[in-house]
Amino acid sequence: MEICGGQTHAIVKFGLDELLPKSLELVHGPGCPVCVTPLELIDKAVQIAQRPEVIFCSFGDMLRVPGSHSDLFGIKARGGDVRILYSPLDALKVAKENPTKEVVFFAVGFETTAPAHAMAVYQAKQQGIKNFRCWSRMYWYHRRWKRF
Amino acid sequence: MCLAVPGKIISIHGEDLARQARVEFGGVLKEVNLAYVPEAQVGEYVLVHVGFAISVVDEEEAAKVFGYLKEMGELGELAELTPDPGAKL
Repeated sequence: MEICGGQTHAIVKFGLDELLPKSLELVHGPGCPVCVTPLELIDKAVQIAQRPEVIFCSFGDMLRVPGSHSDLFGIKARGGDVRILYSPLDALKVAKENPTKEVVFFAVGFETTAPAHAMAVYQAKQQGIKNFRCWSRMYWYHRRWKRF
Repeated sequence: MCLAVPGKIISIHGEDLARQARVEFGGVLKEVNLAYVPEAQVGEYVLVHVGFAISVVDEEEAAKVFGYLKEMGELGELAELTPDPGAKL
C-alpha cells in the first residue's frame, strides 16, 4: 500500500506498477494530510484568509488544493495576505513583525508534524505572542494503518 | 510538507527547546530546530521535517535519501522557501 498520493503519482507516472510482478497488488493508501483534507476545511481556510486583519500562513502544498470557489493561491492572487512557510516557527516571526495583524497558521499534518506545531504553540506562549493562532487539523496515520 | 529531508549540521546555537542549527541541504542552508534530537552534534546528519530535526541519520543513509529526492525533483521547496536572507551558500 502506498501511503500518500505523491507515491501513487510517482508509481503511475513512471510506470512502476507495470514492472512489478503480477502477484503483487498495489493498494492506494490513506493519502497524505493534503490529499485527505476535506473540501469544507479548504472553504473555511479560504474564508479566513480573505479577512483583512488576517495573515494566513500555510505549507505551500495546501495552497493548490481547490475549494468550492477558490483555492488559497486564488486568494493570494486577489491581494489576500497568504504566506507560504517552511516551518511553523516561521509563523511566530511573522506574528512578531506584524503585531496589529492576526496570524493564523493552518496546522495540517500527520503525527510526525504534530510536535512541530506543538512547539510553535509552546514558544508563542513562552514569548507572550498574543496574535498567533494555530488552527490545528491533524490526522492520525497510525489509526488508519491499523484498520488496514 | 510530506517529506523529511536529510541534511548536515554546520553549526548549533541556543539551548534546550530553542536549540537551533544551521543545516546544509545540498548547497542550501536552513535554520532547523533541534529540540527533538538533543543528542545531535555539529557534523552529524539529521532528518528534517517542517523545520524540525526528527532523527539523527548516518552519512551514507543521508546521501542515499538525498540523492533519491533530488532524482525525483522533490527538493524544489527547499530552494524556494528560504525565510532567512543569505541562506543560500
